[in-house]
Amino acid sequence: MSVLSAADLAIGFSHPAQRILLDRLNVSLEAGTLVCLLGPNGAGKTTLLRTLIGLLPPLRGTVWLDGDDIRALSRRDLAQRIGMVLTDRVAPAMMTVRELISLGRQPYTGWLGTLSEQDRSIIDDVLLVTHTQAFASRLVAELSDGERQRVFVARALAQQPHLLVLDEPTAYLDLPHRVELMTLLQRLTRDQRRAVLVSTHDLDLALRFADIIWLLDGRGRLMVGSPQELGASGAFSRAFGAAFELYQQHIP
Amino acid sequence: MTTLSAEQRAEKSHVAAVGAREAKLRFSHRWRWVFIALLLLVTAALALSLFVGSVTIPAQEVLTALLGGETSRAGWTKIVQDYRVPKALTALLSGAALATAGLLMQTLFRNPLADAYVLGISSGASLGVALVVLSVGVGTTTLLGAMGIAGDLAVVVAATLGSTAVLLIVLLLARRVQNVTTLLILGLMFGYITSALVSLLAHFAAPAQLRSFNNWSQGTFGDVTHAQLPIFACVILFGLLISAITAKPLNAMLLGEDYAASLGVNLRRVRYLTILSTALLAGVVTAFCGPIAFLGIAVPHLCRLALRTSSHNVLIPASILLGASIALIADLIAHMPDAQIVLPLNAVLALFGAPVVIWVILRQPGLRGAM
Repeated sequence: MSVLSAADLAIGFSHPAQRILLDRLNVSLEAGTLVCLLGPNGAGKTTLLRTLIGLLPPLRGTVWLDGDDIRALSRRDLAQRIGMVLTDRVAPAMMTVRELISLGRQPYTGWLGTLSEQDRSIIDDVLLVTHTQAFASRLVAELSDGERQRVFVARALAQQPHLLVLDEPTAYLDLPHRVELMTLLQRLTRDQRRAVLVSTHDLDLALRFADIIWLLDGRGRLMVGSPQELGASGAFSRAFGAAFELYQQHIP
Repeated sequence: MTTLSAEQRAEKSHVAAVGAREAKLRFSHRWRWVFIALLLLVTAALALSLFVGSVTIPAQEVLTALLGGETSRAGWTKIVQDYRVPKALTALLSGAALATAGLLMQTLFRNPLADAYVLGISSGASLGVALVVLSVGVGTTTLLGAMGIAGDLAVVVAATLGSTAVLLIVLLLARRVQNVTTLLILGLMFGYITSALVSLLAHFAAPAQLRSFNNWSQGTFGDVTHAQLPIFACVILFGLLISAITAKPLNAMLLGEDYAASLGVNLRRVRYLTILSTALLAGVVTAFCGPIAFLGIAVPHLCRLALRTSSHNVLIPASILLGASIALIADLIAHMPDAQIVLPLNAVLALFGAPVVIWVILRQPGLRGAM
């Protein structure tokens, strides 16, 4: 069974007037795969992500999470299955890395949010897996961009999600940190069999790390395939136009 | 996570040990001492406000009066029982209420400079109070004195409605205006508008009413009577109780609404509960004690600084204790022993609070992301 699937999905906005961005989408996401969502600006990447994780209602069609209709799941249920890293660069004053990651346990804790032994053990696991244990007691506001992004991945992992969704996680990072982050995400799919969905502008990284690419062409179509398949079909040049041709000429 | 190797398991147990030690250290060394200090502070401040006042009464006699015995002068019993005790309890409760309301506002608006006073919520409460008091047309020595329990309740309801109305308007604007400073200025303008309406109402009031109204608008803890205290205390305790159940979702709100939603927080419910709690806390204090500035904005910052955390589970109790202490101390300073003059409470609080606000602004030049 797919972790995430959608059939005959129409997405967009219903306010103020209904505006369909993408229509008749059929996608599925399997456990243990890293999917990169690519596309030019304004193609609807963020809207698609937000719809797939239940933050936006679809205009038509259904999103299935582990075979359950996403609209039928409670907030807590949803939070136990999907972890997110959003584009907001939040850094609350006076919050340590460990405190931030502990927030990821909220879908499991009681009304006061008190952590159990098991919660603490999971947080320790997550610190190790994301290599953030060295700065667990530092304040989030004092981290570098690369460190902070890893901490936010750790926070999402503390929710023990089947599906990890990241919206442009590499946007502020320099090359070494981008590679580091993508390597971490790849490891999560290989070692922990999680499904990971990343939206990115970074074509190069996507081609190197993705198992599957979802490519929005900016004209309302979504193409799905491995990096090799999409490359061979010429889909990238159709989506990105002349810029892609230029780009290709510059890599050896 | 079953794929940990032996090496990783060893490292994990090390991380866990370090983490547990750190958590323990943090709590035992910092939090515990801060809370002990706060408890001592609030006890000392409470004792001082019972034993010290404009009229000098020997400690032994104060104790006798507190225990219900006969003092050597009849006037002393009256001063202690009818004046100092209700005033001290009012200051304690008001300080706790305003500090907590300030903390909730700062998280809800993700704005370090928010509190009930700055956002015009206290002014909304004033407007509600003025409408009831001045239209009913009672003229007494204290503003709310002559109306009895029904009148007290009417005033509480009016104040809460007034503060809720302003809060809702500001919240609606906040959805539209993302900029922190713009929102504060809008709140300030709301404050001016409601204050202007209140002055206009006051213009039509009888002179006796006007005097007590002016007295009230300066801020004072001395006007709550024995009979009013139970209502006052109940509303504040109820407001604090609501704030306690929002502690966990408010921690998630520190990351912004999208992250909070992704953690399973029911945003609408938390927003309503926070509004209700703030409106009750700020509303009832304003109704009985007048608009009181700076407590709500400054106390949460001092607590964050002392405890080095943003967790509401820790900050709410800390703000309650520190807010109560500072309200008691400010009132003590306002009524200096043996002094003939009484300083306005808001002036004392401004001397303490304004530097804190200035410090917050200087420390966070951009202000955004400070929360």
